[in-house]
Amino acid sequence: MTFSGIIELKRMALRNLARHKVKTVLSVLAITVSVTMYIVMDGWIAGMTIDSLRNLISYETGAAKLQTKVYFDKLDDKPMYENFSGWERYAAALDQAGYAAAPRFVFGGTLYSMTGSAPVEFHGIDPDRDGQVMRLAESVEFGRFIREGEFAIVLGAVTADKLKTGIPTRPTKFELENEILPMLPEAEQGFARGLYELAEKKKPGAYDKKELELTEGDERYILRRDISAADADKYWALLEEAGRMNLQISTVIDIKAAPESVRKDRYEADLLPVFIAGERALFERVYGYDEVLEAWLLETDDPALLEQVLAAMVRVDYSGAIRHVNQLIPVVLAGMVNAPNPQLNYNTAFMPLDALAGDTGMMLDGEVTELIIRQKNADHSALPGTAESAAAITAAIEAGAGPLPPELAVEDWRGYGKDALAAAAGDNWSTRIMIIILFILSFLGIANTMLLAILERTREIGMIRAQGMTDGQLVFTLMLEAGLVGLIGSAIGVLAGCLITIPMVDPGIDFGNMADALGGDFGYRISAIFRSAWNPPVIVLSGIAATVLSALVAFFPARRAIKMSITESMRFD
Amino acid sequence: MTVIKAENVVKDYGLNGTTVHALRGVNLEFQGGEFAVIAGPSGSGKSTFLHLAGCLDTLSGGTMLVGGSDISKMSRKQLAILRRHSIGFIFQAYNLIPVLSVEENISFPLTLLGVDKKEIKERTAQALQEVGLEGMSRRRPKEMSGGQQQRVAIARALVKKPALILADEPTANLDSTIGREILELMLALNKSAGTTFIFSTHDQMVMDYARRVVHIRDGQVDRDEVK
Repeated sequence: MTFSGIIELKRMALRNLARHKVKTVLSVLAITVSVTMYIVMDGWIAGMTIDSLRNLISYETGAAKLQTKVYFDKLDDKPMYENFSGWERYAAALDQAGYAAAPRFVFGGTLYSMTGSAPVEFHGIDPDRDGQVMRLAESVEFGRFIREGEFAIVLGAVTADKLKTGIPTRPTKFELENEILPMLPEAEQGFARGLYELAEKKKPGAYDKKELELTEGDERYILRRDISAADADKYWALLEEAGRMNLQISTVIDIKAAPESVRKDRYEADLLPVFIAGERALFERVYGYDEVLEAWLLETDDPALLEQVLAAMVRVDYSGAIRHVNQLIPVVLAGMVNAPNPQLNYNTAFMPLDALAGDTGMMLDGEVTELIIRQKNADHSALPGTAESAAAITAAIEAGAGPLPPELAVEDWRGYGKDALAAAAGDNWSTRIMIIILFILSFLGIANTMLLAILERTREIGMIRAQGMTDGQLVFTLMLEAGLVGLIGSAIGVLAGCLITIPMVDPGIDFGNMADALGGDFGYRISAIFRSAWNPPVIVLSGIAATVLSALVAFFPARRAIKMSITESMRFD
Repeated sequence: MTVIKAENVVKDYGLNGTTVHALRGVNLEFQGGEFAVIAGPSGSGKSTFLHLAGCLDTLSGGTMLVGGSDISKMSRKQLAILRRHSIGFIFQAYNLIPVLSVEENISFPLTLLGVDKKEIKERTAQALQEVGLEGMSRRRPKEMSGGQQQRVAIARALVKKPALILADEPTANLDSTIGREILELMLALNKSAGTTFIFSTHDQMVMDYARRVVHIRDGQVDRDEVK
């Protein structure tokens, strides 16, 4: 058959679609909805994933980190005692190879303000080096970034607000008038009040502006968005003067050391069964058994022996080898962080590493828990490439500083960002599966429509075959008919999907209120505005796939039509 | 030239679990240019013979040569191509495609043949003229009377200039006046183009027009009358 013949068959297919308007419209609608949803959801997930990964790398992981293998294995516990020293050597080697490196000492603790407390993850950082690797310094919203040697922290803005430290951004009328303003010199109270405007009271759990309502007596003030940097600094200084920025870190320093005593039952349960040759004898040289206390007591101060017995205990992961020392560290709040990565805005604080290292800090002797690494002048909008892989960075370190000790390893951002990657992959799959089910339902609808159409037209199909149409041509015609439904649905779906995606790419959707309600934890490293990304191959392919699949599902009813003999078809009633 | 040659043709089919012997060894031959009728009562096997001759059904036994080709040895595709090129059909129920206009219905066989657009237009116009339906080309089948629809069916059968036209009870749904007009039309076309017409019918009027009447009874040729 010639091309004009195919066109003729297409015309017949189109007329048949017009003949069953309602069924056609419903089938087209089903395909349209499926394609639209697929494009919109794919763009949304792609946008969130890419933003999330960028924020993960720029604010949490860098391209990779050097740390002890045990520290990485116990990452959820953030074990500060699994640290290492001599990072400067590795940083120098990396510098030679074109990488920037920033040391960190990460530990957990509680941050106390004048009015409350919150569990916080503290990062001791080198302010200068950190700025070469991470974008933290750019995210200070109020106050300033920390400087070397000072007992000061920058803290996530949300936690700062909860602890009533830093500049209050959303105080209630009561807080402003009875707590904040009275702290300030009388002459400055008018200035401070002028920085606020009355906000609407949000209903608990309300994300929609329409659900906002003003309740008399429970008004909330909001810091005006247009205040100048000078006014913000002045207000900060006034609040600092009033003591609002005074904080205290309470933490427990975990130190690896041979314990003073080991209870008999723990010795027999935790150590004896796992000691290897010579370790039991070593233990019994260092500890003597006390019948009365039913415990092994430390009896030597020989540093070599103590180190050996500690190594044996650490090898078997004996928890008694970690000593805990309580420490209180007074600090002031230097700045409030409001980063695109919400992890930083909630319960995370940063302090200069050199101040933290002293006896009034964490009593460090050059130890760090991690060395964060990125290529110098890395493009933060791009994900790290092969030059920033763990293997490339390890090679760079070893080229300049010799082989890494066996206890250290480089782990790239993928290893650190497993949760973010898993959240993205999980959402990706669950969304795709949901939409694929929708697709399948649409195609079943088309198959059903075609089956009914073919049943209705059995006599007509018999006559067409009698005229000399081959089985292949008939199947082609019927598949063309279903493919046209798919094509129309896909075309509208692609158009609708793109139209919906345009505002989702820019300006995006602001989930700020929901983020507040969920404590900033979406699984994604995005604070408030979720933006879609254009994914042209998916847009084109979803349209093509829907058209082709629509045509393909007609194959089965079409095959049914050709299986019936011509004379039977023409007698069919 | 022999258009159809049936040798000991047998056709059985199953119906509600029993085997119906529709044709029991039919031997017949039709030459080019004949205007013949296969007559017989309902269930005699006349339509079955016509369907076999039109390659619409398969034989249970014997041999059927259509245009010299043994149809039992041909594939489904070859049979479709043979029907497309050489056989025109006219059915009792007209069997027009409802979504196509008169013109499109008539030109449909030419589309299948791959005839170019210009020629399709010319031949369709000519066929419309021959059946007296000029000016009705844009109508849809449902907008026409039974007689007009049968004329469209005749034009559709004629337009590809087949060697053979098989007409299964073509006047059964028409009143006698219209039926007579249709028969006159087919007879004229038979004479002018030399197209072979074979009818299946039990309508005496059709038999009166035919130059040859083959009587079939109980699946066998009872009488073969040439006038």
